[in-house]
Amino acid sequence: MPTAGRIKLLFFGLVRDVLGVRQLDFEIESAAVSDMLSSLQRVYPQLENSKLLVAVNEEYAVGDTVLRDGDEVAIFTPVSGG
Amino acid sequence: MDFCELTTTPIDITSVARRVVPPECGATVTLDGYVRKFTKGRETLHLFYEAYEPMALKEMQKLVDQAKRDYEISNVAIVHRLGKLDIGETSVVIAVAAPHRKAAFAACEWLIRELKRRVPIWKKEVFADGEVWVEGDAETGPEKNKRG
Repeated sequence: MPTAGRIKLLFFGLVRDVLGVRQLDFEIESAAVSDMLSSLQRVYPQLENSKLLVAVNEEYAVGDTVLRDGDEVAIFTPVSGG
Repeated sequence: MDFCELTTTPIDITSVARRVVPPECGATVTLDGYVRKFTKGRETLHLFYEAYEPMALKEMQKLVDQAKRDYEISNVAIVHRLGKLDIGETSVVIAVAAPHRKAAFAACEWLIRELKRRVPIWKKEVFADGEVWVEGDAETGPEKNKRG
């Protein structure tokens, strides 16, 4: 069952530059990461063409990972360390 | 002993390499990754590295744990620098101590490849005529890892 709730979004690198913000609180209507990303891309169309990766509570997530109230969700482009 | 660190100060490669040496080992393989001047024909002025620090440290530790399962090695150190780096400065050091060098070489190569694929650190290239966040290639990203 989808649960409404509030998550903390963190942005890094290109995503942070594009949005102009490091962190946001975000209301989620549906529980899935993929839905959250679609909502985010609707609110911020500048992100529509970027490949986005997601981590939930410091672990990589996939599209059907379930989000819960209070989760820390990081959104970023493919990593480039080293 | 193993250690994974993020730092904003210049990395002392020798110090990192010596900290992993235990008595039973015979060789340490050390990777010193540093900033190159030219990338795809453009001249870099400097780089800027950013990290999702708590997760980067966790992912680095996971790589160390997996390398120790997969290779006959003893100690591993991974140190990555963040912030502004000039040409020639070291951005990452990976040191692997092992009883025999073959495993150390193989593990070190695996570690840098996986670090570049998984650890949440991003590099921004600053050129004379612009700057760009470097995006990992199509291979970049996590293994499938569902949260329960």
